[in-house]
Amino acid sequence: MGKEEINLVALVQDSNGAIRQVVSSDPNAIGYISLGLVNEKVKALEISGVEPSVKNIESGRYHLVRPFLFIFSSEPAGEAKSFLEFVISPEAQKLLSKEGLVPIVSKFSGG
Amino acid sequence: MKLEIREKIIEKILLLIALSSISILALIAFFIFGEGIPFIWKIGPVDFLFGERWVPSQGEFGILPMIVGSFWVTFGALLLGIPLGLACAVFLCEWTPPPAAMILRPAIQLLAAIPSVIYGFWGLVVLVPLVRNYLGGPGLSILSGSIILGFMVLPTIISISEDSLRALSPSYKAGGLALGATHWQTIWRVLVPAAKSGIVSSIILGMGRAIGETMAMIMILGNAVKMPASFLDSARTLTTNIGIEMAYATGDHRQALFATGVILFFIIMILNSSAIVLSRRRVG
Repeated sequence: MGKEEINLVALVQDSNGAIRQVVSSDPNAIGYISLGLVNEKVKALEISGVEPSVKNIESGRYHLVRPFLFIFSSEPAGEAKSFLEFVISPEAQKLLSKEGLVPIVSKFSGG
Repeated sequence: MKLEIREKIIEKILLLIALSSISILALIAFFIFGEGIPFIWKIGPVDFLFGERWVPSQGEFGILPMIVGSFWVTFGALLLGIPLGLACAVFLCEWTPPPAAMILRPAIQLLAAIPSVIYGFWGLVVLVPLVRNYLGGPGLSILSGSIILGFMVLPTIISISEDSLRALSPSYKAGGLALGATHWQTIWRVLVPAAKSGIVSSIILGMGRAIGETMAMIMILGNAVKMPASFLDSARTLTTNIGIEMAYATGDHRQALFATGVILFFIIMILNSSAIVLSRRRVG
């Protein structure tokens, strides 16, 4: 969104599920949610002719993308560290893509 | 002698327990004020209270739209809740045959026991589309919120009003009827005015619940931070503002939410004290 501010008139919901519910029941509504939560009740829009799919996101053609961030108050150690290592392991990345999220592994291996 | 000491010890223990519940209140107040007051001074109380723009990412913290939103929703809820609640209390007290009351009263108490997410979910799935289809606007609106909240405050209004009607001396009703008034005239001209202090406090307590309700309102009000212009507009209340944004707020933004809590604290204090004053005056 850069420096542009979100219109104050815009409705705000506190979860992806709530947005999906509102959008699915209102013919004039438009909202944004995570790709993994798009289901048959709502349609995902193309942006500049590019439809949202894992492939298009990985190739960088679909632009409305945000990364998930892990934040820490100090350098992670112990269990936190091993969890982080697990998250970027191929096994966990497979789980993530099964849930509809876009894995990071392919970026590393596929170049 | 020994017995006396034991009594004293028990008394002190009970005092301690009683004080601990109040001390929690003091702790909460201390914490909220400690976080919120410095922020209000930093921003300036006038800009904070009367600012119409809430854009935390640009350092704009005006909560007037939320104050207005809170009052709209509460007012709407009372508009629905007071007549319904009072009518229900009068009916329960004066006309309902005892076997029916045995079913009605627990049913009303059940209304109070339903978790607010359930009210919110029902409102979002059933009421919001109805409002949108028949009245227009986004459906997520002050009207929808007021209707749901009106039902949520019913148990409070009904049970306290009914108790205060029941607590009246039977001679009031007998006197009214003996003077030739009909049953309804007696209720409206004698019983309800006599029970006014209880009814007023039931309304104020309902108001407290309405102002404080968060979960259901997050789901139904749409949460836009614009100043609402009609009952069909989306709104954000003081509590939902805290509820929605606390999860990801840091720094100034987080303090601004505590400051919102300070304002909420003052509003509730004003409400409760005016309830006390009002109900005293009516008694006298």
